[in-house]
Amino acid sequence: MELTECEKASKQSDGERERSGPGLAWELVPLHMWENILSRLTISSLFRTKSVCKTWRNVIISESFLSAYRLVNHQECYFVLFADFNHQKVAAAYNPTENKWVLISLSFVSSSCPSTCCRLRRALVSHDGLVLAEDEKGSIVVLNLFTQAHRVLPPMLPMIWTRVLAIIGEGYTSYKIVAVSSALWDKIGLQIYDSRTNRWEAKDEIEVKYANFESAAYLDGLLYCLNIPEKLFAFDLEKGSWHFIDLKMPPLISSRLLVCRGDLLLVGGHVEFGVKWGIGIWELDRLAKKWKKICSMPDHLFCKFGRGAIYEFLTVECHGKICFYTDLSTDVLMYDLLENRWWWLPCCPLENSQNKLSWFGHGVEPRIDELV
Amino acid sequence: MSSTKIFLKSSDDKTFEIDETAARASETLKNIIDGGCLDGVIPLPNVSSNILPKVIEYCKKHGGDNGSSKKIANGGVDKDKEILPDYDEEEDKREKVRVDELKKWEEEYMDFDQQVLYDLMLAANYLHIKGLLDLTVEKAASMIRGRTPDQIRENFNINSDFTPEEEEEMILIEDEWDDEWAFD
Repeated sequence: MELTECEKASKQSDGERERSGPGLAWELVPLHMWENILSRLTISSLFRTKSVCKTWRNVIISESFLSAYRLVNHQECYFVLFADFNHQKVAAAYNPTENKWVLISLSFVSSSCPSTCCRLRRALVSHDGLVLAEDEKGSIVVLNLFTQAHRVLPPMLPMIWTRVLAIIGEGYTSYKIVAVSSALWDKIGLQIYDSRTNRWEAKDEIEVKYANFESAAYLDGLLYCLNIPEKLFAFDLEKGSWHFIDLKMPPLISSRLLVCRGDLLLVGGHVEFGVKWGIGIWELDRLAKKWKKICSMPDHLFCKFGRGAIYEFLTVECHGKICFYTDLSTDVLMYDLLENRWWWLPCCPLENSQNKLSWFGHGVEPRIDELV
Repeated sequence: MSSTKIFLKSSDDKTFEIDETAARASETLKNIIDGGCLDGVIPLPNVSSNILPKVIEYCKKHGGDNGSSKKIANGGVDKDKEILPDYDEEEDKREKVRVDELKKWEEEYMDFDQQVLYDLMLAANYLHIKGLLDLTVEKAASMIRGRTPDQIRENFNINSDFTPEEEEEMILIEDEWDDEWAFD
């Protein structure tokens, strides 16, 4: 035993790094134990770990590790709120658990496939770990910001006024993208992309007055779509059929559908008794077919946030937390639905740079196993 | 409850005594005991005499009280809940004290160097002691969290086995990643 240690030591002394302390044979630890150890790391630690040695890297990219990692709920979420698409090509993401901002590089998109993809222009929709973004030429790219995996999608079917409504992950191995087109004034065209076939496919048109789908949220096989003004539709992804949901919608400004813990929520600005402005959150009572108000932004926060009135404002939801942002200032307000807690985010570090920041506006759950 | 003594023989031929109830914290030992093939001494060719007392210390703490008596206590709570509402609170308080005490014990127990961690983790794996395996694996994970690849290699005495080209590529990725996650 001692002899082999000496041999090892003498071998290492020429050129390689020296060992400190007694040489333990950590390399001999069975693979399943490394899996166990590594699956306890958050995704950011795991990424550094990949470059420790080949054994670890192979563990991390192995199928058995990924399925073990999937079982551990790391409860991480990042609010990727701002981006500098032009100069630094980075996005700023806020982690509520650590109350910290981090920067995520976006340059990998244009640097890895310059012929097919150029600078990103804006983020469209997101689901779990995936973000759908549009580049300057209008190509659509699916990104996993954390693994830097990405796929440039084939062009959409020719339809006018196309709008991507949602990307819907299916078990972390495939996903669908739903886009609508409202070329005609009383009809909505629909096309769906399936990552398994890598193709867009046209679906039946739907007759809708004032087709203006503003926001969509996916829950239990249905894609709920908010048609402004004041109508709710649901698209059954499995059957490919549309349903009009007959319920009274609260009259709202900047309304948006969200899904939180299996409930459909509606966030928006409203006027109470014709005088008092406010921002509220409603929950859909699916049995009673009614929207039930569950909370309001407290007045003192609303005063600072909306300067006492409501203009357009933006919301992002992830893991039961909702952030609110307006163009009026750089302040971002966060609300935790489960803890019923409001707080202002610390200043975004990208703010200090000279460049004008763009709104990115997506909550992302970092996943290493989600394929693009 | 007086319990049967069991004898464990380490890889370097030293014999240690342990109560049967404590030994049952280990799935491996439990199976040997239940299998009835108990022939006086159980040989453990993968566990040395340096680490076996540490393993026994853990089993003593967790074997007897944790398995059987906890179940009885829980059953008691459920039964008495409806009749005596105060009982619940008392039991909660006791449970909290017990958990706090156990946490403190674990903290002191886990205060050791890398060599011990390595041996103890492998012993817990070999003997199938789930609680101990969890503790040691968690400690190993804590030696990785928030550290650079170089620090991790040093912690675990691992040599990078990447070729110089791969290494260079890795360093590039590392740097990029460090920059990306640079805001503290």
